[in-house]
Amino acid sequence: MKEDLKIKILELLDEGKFKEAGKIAKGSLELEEFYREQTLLKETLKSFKIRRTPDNLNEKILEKLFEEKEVAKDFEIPLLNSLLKIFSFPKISFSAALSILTLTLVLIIYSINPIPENLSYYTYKVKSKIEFYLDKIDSAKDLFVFMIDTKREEVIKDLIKKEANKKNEEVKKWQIKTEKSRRELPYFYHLFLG
Amino acid sequence: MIMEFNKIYKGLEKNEKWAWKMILENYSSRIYSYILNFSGSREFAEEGTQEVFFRMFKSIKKIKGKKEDFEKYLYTIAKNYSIDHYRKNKNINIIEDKDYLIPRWDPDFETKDLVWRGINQLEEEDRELIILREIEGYSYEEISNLLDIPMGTVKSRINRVRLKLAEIIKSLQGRKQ
Repeated sequence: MKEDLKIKILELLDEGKFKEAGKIAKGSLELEEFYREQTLLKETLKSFKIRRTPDNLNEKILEKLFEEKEVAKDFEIPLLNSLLKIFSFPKISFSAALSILTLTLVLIIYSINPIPENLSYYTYKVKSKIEFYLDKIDSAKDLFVFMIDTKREEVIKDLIKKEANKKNEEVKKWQIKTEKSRRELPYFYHLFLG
Repeated sequence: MIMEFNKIYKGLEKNEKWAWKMILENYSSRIYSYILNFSGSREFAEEGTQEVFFRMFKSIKKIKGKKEDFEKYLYTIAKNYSIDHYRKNKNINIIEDKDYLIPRWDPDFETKDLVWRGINQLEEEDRELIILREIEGYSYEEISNLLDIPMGTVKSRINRVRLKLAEIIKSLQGRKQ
């Protein structure tokens, strides 16, 4: 019975209802002593709370935290970091992986079987694209060689000659064609051929 | 805290100084007080507070933006750190800096000294409960969340510790007389 009353007193003290707790304790020496004891204990314990940290402790902590952050930054490898950033983005990493896979497949097909008879339309398209770009690369290489070539003027002359020959051949072809089909050249055609 | 915790947490995740400053302003004294009351050493409490926030800084991304989880994690670090120190120094002197908490000129020195020695005789778990509830003033709900114990259990355990502490103090008083 008294134990229950003690718990009740504790609960009331906990809620800050000191008067009510005192009322319950009244009349019994043991309970009154218990009430005094617990009230004193509560007050004493409260006084142990430290409300302020020592001077500069927060500044010290901040300094330590951000010093560490700077050190970590110095050790980062920029290229690797940027690459990781790109691949951490899901859409980009997915499309990058897909394009790498496609390119590998195309290269495998192209190396195993250059021009098979039963080549499908899409393989043909891919192949022609590759050839187109290879041609572009070749032209770029020629241009580069041309730029560093010391006998540039001779090369230019050769090119002009080649171009003129090409033009003549075109004209001849066209004339043959028109003779065969008995068609006349349009009057403006000469304007373009010079 | 004036600002919403979510906003501060975003700053913490990006390691922004203002966010850490706000957290320190709100929690450092509580952590310091907790470790000091647990260990009894001022020097250790200072070192411990720094260490707790340093560990928090390193693992901030593990906590997913909830204030309760943040506080729980913070106290778990502080608790583990304090228990570690307590166990290592159990047989040496755990109340080395008592004068800092209870100065000799305090009119209630005798009572405070007695209560302080009483707390130091409690088991780790009991001591933690008394510190959180009676010294730091946490609500039962907060303690239940911090320690992962049902609220009813927290209440009954704290009441039991109060009775136990009173008994210890009485026996200490008897020995003194």
